Amino acid sequence: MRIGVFIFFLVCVVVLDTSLMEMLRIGGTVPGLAGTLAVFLVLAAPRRNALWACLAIGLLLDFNVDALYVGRPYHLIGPYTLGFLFGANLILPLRSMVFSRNPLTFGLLTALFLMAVSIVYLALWQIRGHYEGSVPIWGEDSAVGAFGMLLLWALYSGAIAIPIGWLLVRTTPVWGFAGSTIR
Amino acid sequence: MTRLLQTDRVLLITTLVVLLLSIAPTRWLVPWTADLGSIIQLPLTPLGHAASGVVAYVRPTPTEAVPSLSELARIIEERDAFRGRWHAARLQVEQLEKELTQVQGARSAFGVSSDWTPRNAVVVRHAPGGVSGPLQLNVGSRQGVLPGTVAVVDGDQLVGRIADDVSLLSSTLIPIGITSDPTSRDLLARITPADDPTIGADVGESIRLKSIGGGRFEGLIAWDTRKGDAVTLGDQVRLARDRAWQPTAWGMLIGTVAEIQSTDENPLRKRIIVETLLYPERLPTVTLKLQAPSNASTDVRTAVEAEGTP
Repeated sequence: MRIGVFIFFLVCVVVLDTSLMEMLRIGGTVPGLAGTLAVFLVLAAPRRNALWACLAIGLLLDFNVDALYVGRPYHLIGPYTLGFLFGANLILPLRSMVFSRNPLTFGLLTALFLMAVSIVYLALWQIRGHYEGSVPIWGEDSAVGAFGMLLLWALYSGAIAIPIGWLLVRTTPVWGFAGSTIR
Repeated sequence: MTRLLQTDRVLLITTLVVLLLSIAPTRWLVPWTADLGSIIQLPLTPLGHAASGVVAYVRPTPTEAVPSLSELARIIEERDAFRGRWHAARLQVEQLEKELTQVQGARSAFGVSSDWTPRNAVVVRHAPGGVSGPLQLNVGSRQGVLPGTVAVVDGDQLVGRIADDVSLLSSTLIPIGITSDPTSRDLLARITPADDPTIGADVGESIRLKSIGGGRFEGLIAWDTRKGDAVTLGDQVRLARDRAWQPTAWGMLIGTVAEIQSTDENPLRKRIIVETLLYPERLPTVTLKLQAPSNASTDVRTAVEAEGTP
């Protein structure tokens, strides 16, 4: 896998997720593209490359979420990083069973992937909610309400992943995957 | 390096390090993650700025609906009335300015500062997934932004304040009402009737508000049945002289009264629910009220810490 191509796509996806996707907001739900990129890499790249890539995507997303501790901003490293690793490990066994070139595959797997991410994300923030001075990122709302929001995010992102996944599959030759498993 | 990344052991160790960081005490993370995040975001900020511009162009923030003819007539009538008041007030201001120059040395410690400069800032980054939380702005200490600087929209709608650790070219905006922000936990506010044109930090019923999340606040107000409805639905709620906020925020609009509930615990008081009028995470731009470093209340945090609660 070409690192330069990955960094280019990573930067594009994170910038789009944190700024441009606001354009597609429905109610309180804004879709994300990072999950689609992660699913594409899990389906197409060698296993270790895919895991490292998911770790990098999650890490960059974690650095884009500001949390507050006694009025001071900080970034919690982990919720997305570990969530993406967990999601990748969930999708990896499935890649030999699915047709990656089918756009619907991306829709379904991205929704599944992001639901897995949401579970880890919520679990870590819930644990941190018990720390002194730390408030979960969803504030005073319940974790169930936050999970509902994340579920909608996963489903909406899954819908967006159908055309984006189709486009990403078209870019497969550029990535230079060794022994690509995409079919 | 590539060979190193090919081993499962390195991936496992990295994952364990991330896991430890994710459960590490928050006070260990605060000093360095914000700085590291600023460095990582440095190349992304210009791209985010461009993308935010596209969002603002394609999907502008909805403005108020076009008023009906009757509303238009009322607005014109109000405009004429206010124009008359404005001329009268101008004369009064001139007189007061003369008096003010004489008593400058005896300015009240709680004096509302008018010594500020407006500065527009673009929101370059939201949390992914549309989660409400702090926002990243494209202005920093180089443009005169200081911790505690107040952000508003539409002239008097309070959006929030700038967090500590302002970097050179960017800053973090903490929207009002975030429960983890100490300045939003206990707000000193005033409730004024919706049709009252008076704007100020000392006008109306006093109330202490507590953020309950989702852009909502709650507070208790004494209810005197003999006086009738002192507070009604739709009344405006403005920030009073709350020492946790810079004086430039005093008198700014927090939101409106959305619910008035009776409380079994205290029949002589009513529970007031206040809702903010805007969604900070959807704002493409905000206006910062920049103060000179000597005027800016960088001692806001000190005041908060000294008082325990803002």
